[in-house]
Formats: sequence, C-alpha cells, structure tokens
Amino acid sequence: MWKARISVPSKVSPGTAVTVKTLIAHPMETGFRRDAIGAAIPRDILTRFEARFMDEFVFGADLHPGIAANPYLSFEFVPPASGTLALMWRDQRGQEVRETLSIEIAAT
Amino acid sequence: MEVRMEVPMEVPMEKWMTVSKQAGFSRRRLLRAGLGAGVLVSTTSIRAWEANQLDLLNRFYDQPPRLDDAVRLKIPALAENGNSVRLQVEVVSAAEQLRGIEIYAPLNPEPLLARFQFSRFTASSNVHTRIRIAAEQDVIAVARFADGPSIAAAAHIVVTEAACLEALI
Repeated sequence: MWKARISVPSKVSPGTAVTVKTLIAHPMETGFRRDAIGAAIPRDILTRFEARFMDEFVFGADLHPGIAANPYLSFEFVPPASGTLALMWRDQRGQEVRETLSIEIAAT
Repeated sequence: MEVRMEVPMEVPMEKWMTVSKQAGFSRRRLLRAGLGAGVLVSTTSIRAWEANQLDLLNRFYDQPPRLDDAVRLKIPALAENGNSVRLQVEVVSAAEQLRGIEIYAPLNPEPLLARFQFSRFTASSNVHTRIRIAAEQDVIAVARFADGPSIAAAAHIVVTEAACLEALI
C-alpha cells in the first residue's frame, strides 16, 4: 500500500495551532493519459483524506485528478487536549491507509 | 495577463514571424512584458478581468460567487511544470461559519481539483497542496459559508509544460 509521511510537532503549548504536513506516495493517475500504443491508462486516484482528533472530525479533503501525484496536504488545527490524531486516505476503490500519531500538550 | 501583438489576420505565418522579429519581440520579452503588465495594470481593471474569468464558474453555480479579498489564494504566476504546482489557500473572515473551500482550474479536463472541509478545531483555514495545471488559466478558490453567499479569489497562472494531456513516453 501507499507509504505516508507526516510531520507534526510532538509537543505543543496549550491553545496554539499545530501545522500538520502530510505526503503520501500515490501516482494519482488521472485517467486522461494514454500509453505508447494509445490505450487509455485507467484512472487510479485517492479521493478522500480525513483527519480526526480523538474521533472528532478536524479536517477533510475531497481529492480529484487535478491533485498532483504523491498528494501533499497541510492544514492547521488547535488540539483541545493531549490525544491522538488519526489520518486516513481512501482511494476510488475504497482501499484505505490509516496513520495515527499522538500530540502532547506541554504545560508552560 | 495576456499581451497580444496586433498582427492583421491576412498576414501569412512566415510574415508573421518576421514581423514579430523585426519588432524585437521574443517569447522571453513577451513573457517579461506580461509579468510587468500584471503589476502595472490598476486594481480595478484586474477586478473586471477576473470577473470575466469567474463566468466560467457558471457551470457549477447558479449564482457566481463574488470576488473577495478575504479569500487568499497563492500560486506561482509562472510554473515550469504543470504536473505539480504549489497552491496555498486561506479564508481570513468568518472562520466559524466557513464550511468549505473549493479549488477550480476551469480549463483542466476535470475543473474541480479539490474540496476542503473544516471544523471547530481548525483555527485557521490555511491549506497547502500541489495541483496539476493543463493550460494557462485562472485558478479559482471558492469559499462556502453556512450562513451567507460564497466568495472567491482568482489567480492567473502560466505553465510552460502542461499536465494531464501528455502521452507516456
């Protein structure tokens, strides 16, 4: 399956926004291209990205062929407490890749 | 921003080339002039020109969204490779009412590129991604709100190598 890379600070001070940067290895084949003998290359894309913090929806993205190969997405959110951020990518056939990482609120 | 050379239609192609050479035009100079014009043209005329581009969105909306500075859309003015173009979008007003942002490239084979949704946890709507661009055009970001009309921003982009339509070699 596709390999995801995520960058999130592991410790954040209370009430500050965290930037979550994600990159996933996926061709995002548009379905508009043709191979050397003119046959259409079938579409193969990720269609959905979702981020949840402690099971609550944080950020979502519907992806279309106009998103570059190896989709990069970054977004910002304020974690209400220490907890787990769950990220999910789904392709057009319903296959999913899930990653979780913990974010700790450091008392200052 | 487009720079058009005034060449009569009946001039054959070879002549056309000569004419443009004599006039000291080159693709590079044209491009530079275009970029310069983009800076020099007054804000009002840019607004009018962008409004025209927004008509392309009639296909997607009953009422085209109005342009608003609250939508900040950043893409490079010139991209070498249309297969991967950096895009940043942020909506700086009424964050709690913001329901989503849609990104369109009207001249791409599939104009809707992405749709982002936010929540009460997303303190800002600052999103970065990379998109494909099939031709020189205006990329448009539309912000949708729970309680009001949609607003939009447009940004022109020129690509030297277009995405989507090339064959595999």
